[in-house]
Amino acid sequence: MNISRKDFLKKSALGAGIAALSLSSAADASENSELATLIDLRKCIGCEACVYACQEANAHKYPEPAKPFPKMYPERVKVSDWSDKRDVTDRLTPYNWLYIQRTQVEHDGKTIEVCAPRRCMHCQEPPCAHLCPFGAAHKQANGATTIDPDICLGGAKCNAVCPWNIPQRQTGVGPYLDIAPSYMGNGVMYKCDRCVDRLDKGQLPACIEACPEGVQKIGPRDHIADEARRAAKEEGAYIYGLEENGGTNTIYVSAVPFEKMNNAIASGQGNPHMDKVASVMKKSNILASALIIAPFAGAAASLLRIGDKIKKYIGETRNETEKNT
Amino acid sequence: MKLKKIPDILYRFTLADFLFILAVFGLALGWIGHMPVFKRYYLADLPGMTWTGDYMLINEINLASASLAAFLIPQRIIKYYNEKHRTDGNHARVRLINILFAGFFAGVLMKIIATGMGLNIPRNVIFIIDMIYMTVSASFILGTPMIWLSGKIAVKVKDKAGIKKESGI
Repeated sequence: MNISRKDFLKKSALGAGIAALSLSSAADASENSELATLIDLRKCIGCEACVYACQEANAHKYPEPAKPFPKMYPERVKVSDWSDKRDVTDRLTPYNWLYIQRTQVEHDGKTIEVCAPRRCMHCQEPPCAHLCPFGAAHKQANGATTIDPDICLGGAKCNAVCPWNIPQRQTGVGPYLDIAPSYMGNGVMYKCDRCVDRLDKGQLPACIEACPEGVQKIGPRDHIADEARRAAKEEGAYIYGLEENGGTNTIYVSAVPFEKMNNAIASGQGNPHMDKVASVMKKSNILASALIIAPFAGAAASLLRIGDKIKKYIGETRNETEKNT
Repeated sequence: MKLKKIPDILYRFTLADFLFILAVFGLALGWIGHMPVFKRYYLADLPGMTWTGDYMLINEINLASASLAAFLIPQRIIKYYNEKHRTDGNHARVRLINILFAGFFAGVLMKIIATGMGLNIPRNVIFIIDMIYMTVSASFILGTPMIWLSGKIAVKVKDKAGIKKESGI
């Protein structure tokens, strides 16, 4: 679909206005609440305004690797270098934290082209933040998960445990260069931080502000979830992200089922799927709860055992004393 | 009423001992296996060890082992005070291992609370906790075998010199 510059600016202003209203209502609603974004795929035309706005707003965070890269040991450790492919916009890279995933889906006898802005889902229980060995990945109070490039060693564990394999690595940058660059670490992991710096200043994330169609909204998660449910109930829309991985702070609404979209997507590294995802952290959370109870249960069991032993011991001693007398 | 000597039942190797050792191994695996270098240096590629390459499984083993250890620690404390007189010769070493374990376990708990429970803890605090966890874990995992070996060597040297054998750790 072609849109004129005038239309684009008009729609951008409208989109930003709607989004700004949602952000102010977000702030009013609750300061402690996690923020979530609603991405309405029925509105997305795939113009990539969000992609370029993201690149412009986050350019100062992009890696500037030192070359040549240190030789890696063992040799199977490969460098991940995207620094010469910064213009790639058809997948996630350390230089492209948001891209438009285009799919054609047959639904209700029609072929529908769906454009989905894809980036970090900002999980409510982010495995990347829970499992990062150095605390580089961290969930912010506002619900966004960020990676600190000053701490990350680029081991890519976050990528391995992420159900969508979102974080992407760039070699030749980060603190590993100052430790043991050939033997430990391999760069820094990068992904969408939902414009945490802009949000701190009271601004909207760049992708939301730039969208000419008002595809994205940001607000308290409860409100966003209610809106998604309402769209599903009243407009027959399909939802993705509400329940996935125990709930995410990026909720998609679509006119076509996500199963069909997922089947049409060529997913892989940098191209996240849209499959159903069970809660990755569920078992761990249960075990963490057990850890709270365990010492008390252990103390109680030990006290009972001591009580029994004392009883038995006094009984035996009394019997012996009686026998002797 | 004259009290009998404390029964010997607490000195036997019990199921609780076995479970405690299992928990300690689980915690040690949890520490080593949670770092990407574990995979990088082929440890997860060793025959029969491929399952250790699953980060989620390692995290669950770490949490389960921490729960098991936390359950058994009260019993261990009681046992330690009951057996104190039995390990006179090695008491300093036993105490040192216990101190290292206490530090290690405190590190495990801090790490789980900081990153595993979804609390909003400032990032610099998490980083400090991670560094503490790394240090205390390495101290316990590397220190314990060394202390244990030094105890064995000391016993052998004393045996050779004709000094009465001490009980092992």
